[in-house]
Amino acid sequence: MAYTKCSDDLLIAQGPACMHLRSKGMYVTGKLAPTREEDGMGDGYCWCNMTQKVLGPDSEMVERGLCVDGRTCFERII
Amino acid sequence: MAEYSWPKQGTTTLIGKEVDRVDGVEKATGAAKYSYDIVLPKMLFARVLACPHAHCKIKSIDAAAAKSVPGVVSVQLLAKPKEEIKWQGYLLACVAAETEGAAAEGLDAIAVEYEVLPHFVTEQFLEAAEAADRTGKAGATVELENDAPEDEDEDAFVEAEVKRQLEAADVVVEGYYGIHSITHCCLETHGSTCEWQGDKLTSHLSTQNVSGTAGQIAGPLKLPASDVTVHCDFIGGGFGSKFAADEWGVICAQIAKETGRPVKLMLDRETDQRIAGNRPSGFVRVKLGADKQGVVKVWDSVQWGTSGIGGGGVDEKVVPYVLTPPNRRSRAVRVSTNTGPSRAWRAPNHPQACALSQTAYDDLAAKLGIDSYDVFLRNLDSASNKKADVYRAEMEIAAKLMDWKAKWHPHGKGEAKGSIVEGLGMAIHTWGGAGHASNCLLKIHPDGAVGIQLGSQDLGTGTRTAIGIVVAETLGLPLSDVKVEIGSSKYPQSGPSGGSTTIAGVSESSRRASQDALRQIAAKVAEKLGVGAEQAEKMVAKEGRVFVADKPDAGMTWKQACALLGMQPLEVQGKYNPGREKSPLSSSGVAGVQMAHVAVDKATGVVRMKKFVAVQDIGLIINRQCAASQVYGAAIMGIAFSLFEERIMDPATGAFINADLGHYHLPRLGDIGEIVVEFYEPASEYERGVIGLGEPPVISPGAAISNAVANAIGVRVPVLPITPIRVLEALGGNGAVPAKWTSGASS
Repeated sequence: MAYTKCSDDLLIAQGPACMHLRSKGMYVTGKLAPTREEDGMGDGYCWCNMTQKVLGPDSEMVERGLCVDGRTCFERII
Repeated sequence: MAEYSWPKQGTTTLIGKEVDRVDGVEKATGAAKYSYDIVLPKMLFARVLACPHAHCKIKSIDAAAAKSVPGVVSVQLLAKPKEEIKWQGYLLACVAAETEGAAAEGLDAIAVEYEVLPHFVTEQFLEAAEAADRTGKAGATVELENDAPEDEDEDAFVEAEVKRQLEAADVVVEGYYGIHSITHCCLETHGSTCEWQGDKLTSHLSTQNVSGTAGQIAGPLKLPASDVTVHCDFIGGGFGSKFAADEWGVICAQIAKETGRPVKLMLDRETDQRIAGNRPSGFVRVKLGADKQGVVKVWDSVQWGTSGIGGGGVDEKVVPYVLTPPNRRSRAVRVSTNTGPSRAWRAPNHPQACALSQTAYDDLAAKLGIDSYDVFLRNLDSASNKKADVYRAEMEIAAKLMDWKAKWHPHGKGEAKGSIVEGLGMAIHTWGGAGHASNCLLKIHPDGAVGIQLGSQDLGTGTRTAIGIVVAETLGLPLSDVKVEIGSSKYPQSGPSGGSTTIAGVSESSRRASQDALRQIAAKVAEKLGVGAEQAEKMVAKEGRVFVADKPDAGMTWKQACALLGMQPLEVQGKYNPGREKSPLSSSGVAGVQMAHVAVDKATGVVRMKKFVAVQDIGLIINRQCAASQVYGAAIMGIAFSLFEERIMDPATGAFINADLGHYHLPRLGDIGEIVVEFYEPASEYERGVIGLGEPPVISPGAAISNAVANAIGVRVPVLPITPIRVLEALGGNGAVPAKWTSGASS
């Protein structure tokens, strides 16, 4: 029996992502708010659709794990 | 349900042949219009003011004087008093004027007072980053052959197990390796030209995401996305950095709306280098254990790097790269720096991961005195590597092309000609390359004219040519008879050019549409000729005729066949959604082997490329010429980041001090040497269908060239790019890692 463990604090999703989160991977794969980097598609390269930069409307970094419920600028998709 | 397939191998007229780009003359003569070339009546020129400091607070910002500069039409402030700025190049203001000169004068007239704050911009030394409190936890990946006992603390078990494996190894190699941040250096900087017609906006945006950026501009402007058209016929480089509309893309549209005039806003080179994309750096400390044959049994590493203020760096899941031993612990630390944010760079994570780990495998070969080729070969059968047979075959081909066995010598033991020594190095890589979702509209007119539209783009892959080849091959026409239109978000949605997904994606939709259209036309021909349904199904299109496959006389010309359509054109939509089913037209997963032959002058530290061999599998090749071009370009880009490219940050001022193309070195023709490109293509590759190629061949050069230099001079130059000073430092250290690289001291 083998032992495996993979933690990725940067990309593990903490609940649904903000509707304004964008990443390269989302456009390439067509998937909404991926939870992890997929085969180097660039899901880690995120930006906010409302500011069009790596800082959100609250001037904090845009990241899959950060653009979640509780952030002041967060908006749910549904 | 319609079935789709490619023609049998060996029967094609265009597919797999050497075909000139259909837009090659336009590009070569300057007739092609890039976003930068768009000039519209009454157009304003916009320029941006970028923050000169790596970390500061805006005390005040005053645009009053700028507004009174002759020729200035609009001034937009993008930063506010008290705002904290965390990297150099952050946009503070934008001025639009009648001329570029007036815009520049306007920027000079904006008065900004800064409170300069402490910065941290050099991440090469982990201890220094830790001392500056700029590190954070990132990922950790552990794979071990033995499982943890149920009652044992997992971390303690992993620590003990890795230690036990290293102690049990016949040989242990310890190393430090690194690769600095580089920028995308798109020949055409980022930006757009925007024009409004009433409430409708057209953005001539330099983008690798034609179908995806209209919504990005519409969002911040609070417009319906249907009111925005993104147009991009040609793009002067993207390499992963042009997926977003970007802040400056939105500002351009806003100023155009406010002034009622078209506006061009292309970033100046310095700003483009500073904020429009860079590839994360990566540094690693490795300890690996192997047997006497050079088979690695255990890998233990701590890596770090930066993608800017957010930290980031290289994904530890792909370290070690491809050659994954049965036991490994790969840990990563994120380092936050006051530098421009990174973006995806051709094959995200892979080039760095390859350079950080396959160098260690080569150092193992050096320590054991074994040919590096044999060490790579013996490590191919690791558990996670599913393409060992392909790698073996490609290594054999590459070795023949390089004449490896005749040229190779133990590390540092080659014959010297004066101060010149030569060496060989190799590396291997992998990539996905599955096609993206793609739709197209194929229109066949009663006069025989054929046109196809896709919301795609040509990032350099030869997209127009590939689509034209697929349609022309399917309909039996010359390539010149197919009019391909891409570059508008008004065309059917097709994916962005990223992840090496374009050629497979557009080939899927265009082949599907063409086969569907041919079936409809063939049915009309069959009806006209009075042949049965069975015969109709056997109809083919070739050399300008539509006929029953085994009865060339039972048919008619293409034009005659199309006349049977009646008064209206035939419109067929081609659709491909990769999530739904496994397609017979495309697939994913490639290998690749590269070998480098270098000459190093030990007196000056200068490294010269003598020969570079790239062997690549890519499934079915649509256009052999463009496919080879992709590999040539990737090899050149790889040589660039191996020997020349580096974002140099000044620790004293926090400035990116070579943010121009005068001091940011890129190779010239004489720096490249001979490049040999060979495709690995047994019949089984053709049967896999189309796979993307843009990224895989750019992955291996860093490790291959570093290994070749180590083979030549007998010591490792641990950090890329391998500049003359680094070669001399490595030689001076007599093989040991210079103390300053491990002490944490800033350089």
